[in-house]
Amino acid sequence: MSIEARDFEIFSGTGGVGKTTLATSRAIQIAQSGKRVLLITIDPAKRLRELLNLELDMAGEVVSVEDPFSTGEKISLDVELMNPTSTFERIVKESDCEEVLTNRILKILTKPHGGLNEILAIVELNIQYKSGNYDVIVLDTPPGSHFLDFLESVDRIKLFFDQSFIDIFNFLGKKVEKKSFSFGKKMVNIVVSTGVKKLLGYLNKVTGDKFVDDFIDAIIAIYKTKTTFLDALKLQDTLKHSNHSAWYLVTSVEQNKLREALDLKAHARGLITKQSSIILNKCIEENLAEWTPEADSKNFLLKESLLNREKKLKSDLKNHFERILEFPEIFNISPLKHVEALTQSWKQL
Amino acid sequence: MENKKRFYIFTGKGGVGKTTLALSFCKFLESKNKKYIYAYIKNSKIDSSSKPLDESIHLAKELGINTLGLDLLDCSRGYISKKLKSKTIASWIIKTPFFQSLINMIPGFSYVIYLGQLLEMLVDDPELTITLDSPSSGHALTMLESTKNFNEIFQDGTVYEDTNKMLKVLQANDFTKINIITLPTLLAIHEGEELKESLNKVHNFSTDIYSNNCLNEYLNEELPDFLQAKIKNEKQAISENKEHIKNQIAYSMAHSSKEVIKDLVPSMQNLV
Repeated sequence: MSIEARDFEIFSGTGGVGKTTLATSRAIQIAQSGKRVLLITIDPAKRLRELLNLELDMAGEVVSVEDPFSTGEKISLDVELMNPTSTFERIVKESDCEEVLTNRILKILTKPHGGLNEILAIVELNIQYKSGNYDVIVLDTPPGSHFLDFLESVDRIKLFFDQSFIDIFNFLGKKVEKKSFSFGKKMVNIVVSTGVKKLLGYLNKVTGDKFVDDFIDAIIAIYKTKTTFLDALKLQDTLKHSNHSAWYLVTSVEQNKLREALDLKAHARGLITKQSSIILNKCIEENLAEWTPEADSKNFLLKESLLNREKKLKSDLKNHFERILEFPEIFNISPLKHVEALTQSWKQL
Repeated sequence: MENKKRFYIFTGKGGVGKTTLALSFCKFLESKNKKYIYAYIKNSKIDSSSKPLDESIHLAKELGINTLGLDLLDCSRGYISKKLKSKTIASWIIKTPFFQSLINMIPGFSYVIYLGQLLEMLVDDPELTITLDSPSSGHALTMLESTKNFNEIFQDGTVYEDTNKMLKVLQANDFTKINIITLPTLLAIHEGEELKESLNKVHNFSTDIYSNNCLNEYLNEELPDFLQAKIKNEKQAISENKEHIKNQIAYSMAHSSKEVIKDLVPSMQNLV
């Protein structure tokens, strides 16, 4: 018996714990049951690419992985390595304002390491969900506190479009809003010469003229894409609903990250609860139990050390989560073999 | 200590033991009577309702390590007030919703502010060494790349000059050392190598990769098959990539994080 799949299956964790491998094997297992699955990774480290032997330049595109283990049995699995540049292009296309792409500041900020990853990820997720192409979306999130950035991105978007523009429009007056944002150089002058000028004036002192001009253009450009950004806010309700979304918090025997895992849970805004599943990866307790090294030898100490590490972690986790899913360590060097073995483990849960 | 650098950045895939090693490295500096600070990002949010992950600070306190928690709000205020020569205006600016939402939308900006503060401390005090417990892989890159990005964005004016100064300090000879921590598995090692390559595109930093938690030295014939297989995989992963891995750090049998940190101090010599 396996666990029933939700619309969203979200993997978060402290990192280095096998999150991507587990998310990938889960996606394959669900696809093998006949569902149309999309696997997205928003981890900038992009391990997914190596796991499934994907091409380097496919970032941002959705590619189909029909037969991951070359068994001849085809499944409906699409894979996407999120790329902020491509997501931003998609947003701009949806908002029908392609000229936005030429803005110098936005171009730099939406580069893969420009820092907008988490915010664009929630929009990407919404675009894919709305497409109706998939029964299940499996999401591999960035490690640790950057996962919290992802969760908070909704609020950041809201604050940005609410507050920033309320500020500007308060200064400029309502007339401007009715002009359907046909902003030009004239508008830029209005912005600079009236209201926000106090703030921008200070900014000018520090940053120079050229920046302030480009900056106002960037803000106005982003504003044109407002609808797409704000539409993504609706996704939050779906993600909160346990009928629609399953949250997995992944940790591993090899890293004692209990406190960090609990911190993530505590700050995940009620999305990860006692009822969410905690996954404990790379368990070797059963293997160790069968080993009887000579008492007090170095091997005996090693066994005790490894065994205690795992037992203690398990008992600590039981205090905080109702459901612990244990996955065994896979003694094989090939990452693909790991995915294959874990896909089987998902089936047997 | 030969070839000592001023600024050590510990980074790597999440959960590989960056914090443990960074703290152990600080204990090592302490044992050599060096003036050091362990720097970590305390609060990257302008909105103080979201609390940071506090594992590292808790351990650092227990071990009596000198710490500096970087707070975005404090760093921004400090920077702006220095530039405009007014604390009042700076406080006003960082309180405006416009500024707050802007800085929240552009996380790279906060990295530049954090980095700026650390570099200034290092320039002001030539005796000081800073160990930065940096965000994981992709984000460490964002931090160093952001400085370059903002330099490109601003093109002229004070911020441009400041980021220029920062880049000069960071890139000076024998100043920055990046320690990429990884685990002895293929995925983890490849990630470390990729990170090193990307960092080198920003600048040719002095960067080394270290494999943590190695069971290698525990290998013997009496180990059960699964452990032999595990260690064999480890050795294969390392030997396939041996030209990239500077050193291995052994698995510690100590029972608590605190004891592990102490246990590893002697091997920190290799990370200098």
